[in-house]
Amino acid sequence: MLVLTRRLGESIWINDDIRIVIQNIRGNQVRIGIAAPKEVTVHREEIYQKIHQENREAVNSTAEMKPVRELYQSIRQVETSSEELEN
Amino acid sequence: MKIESKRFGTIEVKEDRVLTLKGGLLGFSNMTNFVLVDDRADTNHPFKWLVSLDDPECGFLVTDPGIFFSDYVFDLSEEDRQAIGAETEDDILVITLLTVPANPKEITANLRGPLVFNSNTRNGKQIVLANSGYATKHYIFLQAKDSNATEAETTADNAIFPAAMAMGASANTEVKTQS
Repeated sequence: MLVLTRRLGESIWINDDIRIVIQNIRGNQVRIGIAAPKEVTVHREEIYQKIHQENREAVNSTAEMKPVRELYQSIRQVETSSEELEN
Repeated sequence: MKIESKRFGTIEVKEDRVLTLKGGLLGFSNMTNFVLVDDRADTNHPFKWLVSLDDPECGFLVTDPGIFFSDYVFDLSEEDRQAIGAETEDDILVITLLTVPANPKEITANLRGPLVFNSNTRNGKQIVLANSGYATKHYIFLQAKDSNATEAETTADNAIFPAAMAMGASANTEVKTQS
């Protein structure tokens, strides 16, 4: 990893179209401004990681369709019969 | 083209049914091409497998979120809309990934990271709804919400189970574009 030291208000350029500015430093919080072309995706790491993690859980968790399908169908049956009761 | 999968059997892949995810699935950037595969035993339900053509043993359980979350609405950013090349909202198809824990009643839908596709070109992207209020885990079955409501983040009143809704109903999630 490339590590650079910057002071408040200073910037870093990545290629010639992405600029990162240190806007504010307070205690252990740093406010960072990012100017990048629209097609560049920027996310806070924890949000990005959460989706990653959920994708990973999803692929590991779904070995069988059967229990999910059966559950869906049994719930649907219960709902259908309670509707019939109401009518 | 036919591909062999131990898990899903022989999958007949028609070229005009291949879904392409720009940038791959987050965390699985090597997987960009997928097909939707029906449950072999029974199709009388709204679940399908999203199977990777890059690794045919790898499949995700998916559904149409509108079936379980009738008021699921999000803004598609202009960049994301352009990324999939969708001209109008009608071109957009939304698929949601499901996670099945040991107890299938507690199956959850990832409403924060939906897959959006251009239904004409089948090009899509997994988008991240950072400030939407949606989480990566929403129970799809009310029963789980009632008994275990604190474990997954649920948004009150947004998970319903509409029995009347036909199986395999076309995507009815409302997507707003910023145009």
